[in-house]
Parts: sequence; structure tokens; C-alpha cells
Amino acid sequence: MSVRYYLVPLQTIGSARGPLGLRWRFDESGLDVPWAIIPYGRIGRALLAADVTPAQHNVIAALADVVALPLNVDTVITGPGATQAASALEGLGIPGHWVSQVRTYRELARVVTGIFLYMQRLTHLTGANPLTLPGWSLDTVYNTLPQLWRNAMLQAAIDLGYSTSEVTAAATIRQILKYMADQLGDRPISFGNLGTL
Amino acid sequence: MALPATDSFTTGSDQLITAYSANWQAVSSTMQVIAATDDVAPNGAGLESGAGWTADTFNNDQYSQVVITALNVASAAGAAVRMDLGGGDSYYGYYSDSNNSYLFVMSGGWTQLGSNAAAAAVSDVVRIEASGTTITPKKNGSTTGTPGAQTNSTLSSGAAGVCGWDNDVNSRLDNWEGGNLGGVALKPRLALMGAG
Repeated sequence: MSVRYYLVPLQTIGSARGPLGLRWRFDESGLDVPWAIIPYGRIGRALLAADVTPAQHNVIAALADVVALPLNVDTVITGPGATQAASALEGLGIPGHWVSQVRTYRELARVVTGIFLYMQRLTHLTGANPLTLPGWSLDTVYNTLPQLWRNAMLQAAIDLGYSTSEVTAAATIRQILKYMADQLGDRPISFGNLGTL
Repeated sequence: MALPATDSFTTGSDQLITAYSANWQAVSSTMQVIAATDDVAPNGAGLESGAGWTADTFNNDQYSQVVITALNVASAAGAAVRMDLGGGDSYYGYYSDSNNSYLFVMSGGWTQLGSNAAAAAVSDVVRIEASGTTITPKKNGSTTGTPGAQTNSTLSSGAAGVCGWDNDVNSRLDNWEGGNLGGVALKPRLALMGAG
């Protein structure tokens, strides 16, 4: 068994969410492995850590819309790897423009998790998934957002103890999300008893 | 009142926890106090149930713990922190049915944060702690047999309380305690000043 990391879709049953394809409270038929997730707020995706055998890894990696990180997350990202990773993130509604700035998949996963943690607080405050906002994209500019969202973006940063100095009128969503993720710094990101990024 | 707050739910009749004491407020569906056993059961058919302690203001870093007195297969009982007493239907919870225990966050629905873990047993102390963005479930003082400490930033403040699932007197909790984490009792220091 090895702990591996994945970007996975979340399954929604009624008003409950858990990782698609794995056993959780409302899907007893899923793959029964130890897991932990950090959701992308109310957007139906998460970074998953799971303790899996090679065969179980193959099952998870073969699920639709799953992105598997290398077993050794300290692997250095190569040029083509960076292009693939950025493309995969963008395809999932996650900013990927910064991938060339990080060296390893661990660093990549930490930035993604930092974005997810900020989005958790943001979407709790707004009570909505931003993908349902008309005209929302990662390139949407801050001062074109509804006032509710602008206020919530600032409040979420304050709640997390982050600076808001780079949340300017012309800043794009992707720039703001990366800015917030960077402020996570070197704080440990715990995936339960499975490990820490 | 002073923290930690406690409640052993002694009552003369079955009633909603909010009728039993004004120190409790329903969050999600509510809980009920049971006279025959002087403990608490979930009271929302097919729903998440919760109640937060209103008599004290909690720090953001807080804990809540209960003693499990009964568990059934299709209902659950446990502890909750950072409960929104303003009607936001949100909290972190750790509860158990007779098959599994679950760590979750309520925010626009229910999201499970770690895999199903071993069920609690009667007399187990089920506890959840929130410290910054670290959410830690414990059973009998240990994270062994739980999903372990998770990183989550959805909720930043609120009240400690109790939670459950469904409407079933066969899943119950008792001896609730809620308080702040990291509290250090200040001891007066005696300054000795010598002359010459």
C-alpha cells in the first residue's frame, strides 16, 4: 500500500458529497480504501489522498476526470509535464498558469490545495458555486464581479489571516486564487492519518 | 457561564433540546432529550440534526465531546464544533452509527472529509477539535481508529454542540462538554524583591 494523491470529482447523493468511485457513507459499493479529501469549496472537485495498492491505483486513475499525481510527489516536473499539468488544471476550472513556477509535484499539490482552501471559505461565505455565476471564468476581472463576491473574496482572505493587498480592481480570478494560495506558506496540509503535504 | 460548559441532560419528559434548555439552539434539524435515559437523540427524520450551546461565547479554536450511550445502524450521534447559531446550517461534525464513524463539514450540504472509520462503542468519548484549519476527530482521546486530523478552512468560528442523523432514540449521547482549546490558566506570580 502507498499513499497517492489525485484530483477527483465529488459524487453528490441528495445533499451529501463524497469522492466518486470510493466507499463513503452514501456509496457502500465504492473502492474500500483509506482516504481523505480537501474539497474545492462548493465546486465538485477535491484533492484526494488514498492508501492504495497498484491495482487499486489503476482503478482510481481510470475513472473519468481523475488526474493522478506521480507516486513520488517529490518528482521534478519536466517541461512537457508542466504543460500537461497546467492543461489538466485549467480543464478542471483550476488556475494552471503558475505551474512552470514550481519545481515538484508536491509544490504543485500544495498550491492547488491552497487554492482549494481559500475557495472553501469563499464559497461558504457566498453560499454558491462560482461556476454558476453568469460570465464567471478564471480570467474574469475582480471589479466586474457582483458586490457579494467582491466582499466575500476580501472577507475570506481576512478570515484566513491573509493579506488582500494584491486584490486590485484589475486583478483576475486566477491571479487572486494564486495569490491566496501562496499565502498558505509552508504550513502543513494534513490528510488525516494518511500523511501531510 | 464559564467554559468548559457541560450538560448531562437530566429531564422529566421527552422534549426537544431547545425546550429542555434555552442554553441550546437548533442548527439543522434539532435533537431531543430523552427522559427514560437522561440523554440526547437526533430528531430529524432523514436529516442532519444538531444543536449548539448558546450560553457562552467560544473561541475559534474549540472542542466538543460526548459520551455515546447507544448506537443504531441507520442513525448517528456525536459532537460538533463551529456551529453557526445564526441560522447558517453549518458546522464540523464527528458522529457514529453502529457500523461506522464519519467526519464531515456542513456547508450547503454534507461533505465527508475522510473515509469511513470504525464505529464508536457505548461509553466511548467522541470528540472533535477545531484549531485554525485543522479539524481533529478523537475517540477516547486518540485519533487512532478515526480518519485523523484533516485540513479544512470552510468554517472559522461558531459554537460547540451536539449532532446526529435521523429521528431515532436508539442512537444517543450524554455528558456533553464544550470548551476552548489551548486555554492556559494564569497563575499569579509572586515577585520577591530583596533589599540590600
